[in-house]
Amino acid sequence: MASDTRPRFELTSSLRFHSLQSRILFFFLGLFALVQIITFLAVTTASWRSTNQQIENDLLVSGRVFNRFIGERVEQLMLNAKLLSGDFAFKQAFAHGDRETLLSAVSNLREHRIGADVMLLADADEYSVIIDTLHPAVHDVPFAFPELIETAEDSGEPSSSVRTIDGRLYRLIVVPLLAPEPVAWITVGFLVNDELADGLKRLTLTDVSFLTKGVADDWSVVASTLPSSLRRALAREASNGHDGSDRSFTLTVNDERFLALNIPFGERLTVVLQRSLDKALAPFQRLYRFLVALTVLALALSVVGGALIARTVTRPVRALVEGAHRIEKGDYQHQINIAQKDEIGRLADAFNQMTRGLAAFQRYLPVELVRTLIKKGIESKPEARLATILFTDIEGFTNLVETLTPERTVTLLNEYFSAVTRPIEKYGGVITQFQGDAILSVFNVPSEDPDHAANAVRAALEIYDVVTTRKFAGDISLRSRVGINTGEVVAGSVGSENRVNYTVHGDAVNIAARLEVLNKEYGTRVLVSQATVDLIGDGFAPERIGEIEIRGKKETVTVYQLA
Amino acid sequence: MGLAGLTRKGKLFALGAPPNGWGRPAMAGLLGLTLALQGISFDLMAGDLDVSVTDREGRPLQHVVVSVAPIRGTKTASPKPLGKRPMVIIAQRNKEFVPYVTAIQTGTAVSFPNQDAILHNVYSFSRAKKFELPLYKDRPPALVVFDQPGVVVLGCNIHDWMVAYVYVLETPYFATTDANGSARLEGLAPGEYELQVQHPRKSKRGSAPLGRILVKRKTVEHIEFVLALKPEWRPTRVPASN
Repeated sequence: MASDTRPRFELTSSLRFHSLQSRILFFFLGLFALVQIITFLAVTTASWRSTNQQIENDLLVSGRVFNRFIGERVEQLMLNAKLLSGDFAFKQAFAHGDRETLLSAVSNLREHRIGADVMLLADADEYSVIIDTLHPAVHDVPFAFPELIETAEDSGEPSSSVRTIDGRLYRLIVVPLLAPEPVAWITVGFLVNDELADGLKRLTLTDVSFLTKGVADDWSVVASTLPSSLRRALAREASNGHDGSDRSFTLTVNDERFLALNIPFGERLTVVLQRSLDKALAPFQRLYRFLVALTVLALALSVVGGALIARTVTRPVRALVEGAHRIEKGDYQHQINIAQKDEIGRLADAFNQMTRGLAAFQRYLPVELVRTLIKKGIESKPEARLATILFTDIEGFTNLVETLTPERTVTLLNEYFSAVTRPIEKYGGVITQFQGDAILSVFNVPSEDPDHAANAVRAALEIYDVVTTRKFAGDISLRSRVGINTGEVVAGSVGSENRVNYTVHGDAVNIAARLEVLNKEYGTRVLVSQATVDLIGDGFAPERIGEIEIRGKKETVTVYQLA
Repeated sequence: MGLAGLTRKGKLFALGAPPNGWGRPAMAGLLGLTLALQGISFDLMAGDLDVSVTDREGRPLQHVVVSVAPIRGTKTASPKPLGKRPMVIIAQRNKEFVPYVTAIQTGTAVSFPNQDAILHNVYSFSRAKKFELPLYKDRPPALVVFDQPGVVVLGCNIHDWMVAYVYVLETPYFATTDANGSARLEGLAPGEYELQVQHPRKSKRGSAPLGRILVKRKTVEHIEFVLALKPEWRPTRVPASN
């Protein structure tokens, strides 16, 4: 019999769950947790991605708007400057050569006709400054950006670029004063400052920053819609080696995440458009918190629920297991108490019925045999073995019965059998047959018992004691006779397909029966054969009585008396 | 084109005392003949200059004004009196100035007839000649005398693409290259000359002299050179057709 009686369920070799309950619970929880986690991940990923994508698209659009905005500003200025370059009155003023007149004319033009923040006039031969609206008193100095004039001259088109004047950034456009060929070069420009950035932000709803690269290859913010705290951080971020290419990138500034787009704006100049990722994700934060709370709550509920369900399954199962366990032990009286009306309940009822059946059946069979049958199965193969047979009956039973009523007879028999079977079973004997008042029992089958001969003798002696010391069915005294023989027998289930009997056959059995009958002749109560005496050892005092002949056999059997 | 009236000290026909009775008319006729003969003989002594100009790609360059100024004792003929010089005409035809490039000697008068059906204006802010002929039709309000040497750039203030160049030269010896890029200066008295070349797209930093050349008697000097041009700022003509 297995020492560990609790049933075990194994999932895999590495994962052992010691009860159905925890297995069910784990399964439920695991499944639920998995679903929740997948959902959560899917939602967060999707929202993150879509927000990211949306902002990226917005930034790209903003970038295009920015380029268009600047481009149109440049074009507008260029157009106005071109008009100026063909203005005859201005040419006349220029040709006249009076600088003060020219200065006043240029100031007027800049303010009223062109709408530029700066305007310069340089001569065509030496590129020297004639007029500079930012420094009205300055003239006859070299023009600060001769390369702009050279580009225009060589290309036959106005040139446009960003330059710094007095520490401020301007977008400059250069056109010639045609009279009718270039006699001077007119430069007009607009400021790249916070105002410009604000104008852009109003259009695009993104933050705009203009950055310049210093001599040490570090970036600094020249104009921006960002507050100054963020500007410094942005400049630091930019200096930390973003490569200036025009792709979108993530920017973390003062612990806030932005998605940014870099637009090259000229030599050592760039524009950064940015939108806050964190702000865009803020509405989702609530959703995440809600999902998390939901997950936690649902997990808790599923723990409880899982446990409850597990219980309704595993508690009855445990009861069933316990019941089976009891049967294994030989306790057929135990009934399972399960009140459920479901499949488990029906199973319990069936089990109980089966147990009652077993309990009833087992009275018709030797207990040992029942145990063996339950353990090993129905067909125990017939075995030939050395065994000890104990035969016993009541002296003068037939005569006695004539004087009794049938009911009393049955009572008498039942009491007698109860009294007699107890010692037999106590010493490991198996009763194979009740024949009227006789009992045929065998020791060493079906279970082995090395001491079978001695045990049979002990049983016989106890039977003698019991029968002589009590009365049966009220006041009747009985006398029992026992015959014991040891020999080779064939034990097994004998019968038809549907009905079998566990019996023992062989000469040894017949001899035991004859010995039992012989008690009457010798006036003894317990007779044993030589074969038995040979095996019982020294604990007993057998007395040699005589020898008998066995029908059909040459040898005689020596018979001994024990009581 | 040029008036090559160069002479040098040549032989004079020695004439003795005229026979009695011929008188002054005969003397005048003889003098005239002598001079004429002198002139012919001098022309026969002159040298020529054959100039060929290409651009950097090897294409013949038109509108190049080639001029030579005599130096160091090279005798020149006195310039023709103003009245005798032919009038220079720069017309407005089909909304363009024609010709594009004109070379004249200092003191020459130029007429600007408007041959279009629409009005034109002619102006210049060049230092060598600042003037303006307000919008007019047919005959110009006045002749313009170019009395200073230099480059004069002409424009029309209502048609931005209209432009013409007038090169006013001290020396009377000049020629402009034709469509083949060739120009010829004929009947130059042998001697040393300063060669100058000008073109609307040549560098504006003054028209520096190109160098000296020697004109030899009865020889045709061939000169070839390449002129590098700078890009031109010129508005497109509007409308493209018409």
